[in-house]
Amino acid sequence: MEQTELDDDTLLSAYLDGELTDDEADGITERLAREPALMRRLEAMQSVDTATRQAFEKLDEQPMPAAVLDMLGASASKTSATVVPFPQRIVRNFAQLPVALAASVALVAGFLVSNVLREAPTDPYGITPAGLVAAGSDLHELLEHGISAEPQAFADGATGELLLTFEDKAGDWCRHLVVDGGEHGVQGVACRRDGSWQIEALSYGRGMDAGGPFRQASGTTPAAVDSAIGALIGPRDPLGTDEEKALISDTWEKSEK
Amino acid sequence: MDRKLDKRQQELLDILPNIRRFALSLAGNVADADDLLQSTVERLLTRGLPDDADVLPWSLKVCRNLWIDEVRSRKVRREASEEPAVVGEQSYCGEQQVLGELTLEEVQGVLAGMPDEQCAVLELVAVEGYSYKEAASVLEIPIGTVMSRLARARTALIERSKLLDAPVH
Repeated sequence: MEQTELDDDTLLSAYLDGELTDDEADGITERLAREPALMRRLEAMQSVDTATRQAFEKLDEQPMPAAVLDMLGASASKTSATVVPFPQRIVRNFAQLPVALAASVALVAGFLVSNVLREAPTDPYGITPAGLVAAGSDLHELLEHGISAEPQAFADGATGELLLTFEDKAGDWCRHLVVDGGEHGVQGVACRRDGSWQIEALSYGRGMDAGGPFRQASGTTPAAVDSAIGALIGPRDPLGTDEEKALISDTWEKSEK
Repeated sequence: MDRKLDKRQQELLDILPNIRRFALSLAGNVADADDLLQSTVERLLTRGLPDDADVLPWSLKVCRNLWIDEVRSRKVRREASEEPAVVGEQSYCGEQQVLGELTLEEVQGVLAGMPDEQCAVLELVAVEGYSYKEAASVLEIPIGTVMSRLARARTALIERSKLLDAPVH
């Protein structure tokens, strides 16, 4: 793509979608670090996307027209309970925004679907540029040994908590995590793949001290995280506390299929 | 009912929500979207799909072509009756209330104010997760056009939602 021929909005939009070349994306990333107005523009675009997804999700709550179901030989009662997860580009787009930058701004919608940069600055939660949770980090300890609904204090003063543990369609174990750093925080989903915790989706937002709607208890799981869980989760129910404890003591053995 | 038709019906059943969302992006309101969905399914069942066709992109193309036909026929009807142009020739996406919890009625308000070609691109990329190449294929437009329409769609929604009213520091 000829970057010189594109205006900033077009570049940011394509950056958001992971459609720029590496060089173009690096150029935007560098500018985002220097230009707060550009960062705010990008955040606004992300908020628009989130709101658009939420808007279209409302349609899914409406029953399908009976005439259409009749044509396909399906009854309304059979299909009305079907959950259709949105296909998401969350994983594909995971690596774009500088973590520290994304977390350093107040967000219009409360959350920012964000990504980790290829050359990301050091992340306080130990997430590597490849989206892996570094062994030995507080977040890794939380994911590896934490029990849901039992908050753990991080060394930097943040509080980490797990909200859900579930098996994904591939048979790997995944956990819904929240880290409240006061001013800033993250929610996300990490899955244990080949012995490492891989971040599958991450949303940045205001922490509780900044009035951010960060805990699941407040009913405000970011749409991106919600969608990621919906897309990942396998047929089995999420684990209860005793099942979690057993799994942790078994060092995350995969279940028998 | 033969086995092949059963399989096709099940495939269509699985992607109904995707077609319906795309139809909403074109039509701009649920009633017209559901009519368009019905026409699309009818067309797919009566005319079938090529054996090597990927069912979802093909279905979306059929949906889009039917919508273009509908827009043209509305235009003809309007010109014949000499009624002034009203909504319907363009479908809509995006209005002032972009954020927060929305009711379906509000969603239909949200879907007001944007040309259908921008709304459709936004739906395919931001909602369905299509790449620019995939969206370009469904809409039968160049990738560069996908990119520019998408940027315009997002920019328009930002302007309407006043997301950037706060001063930049």
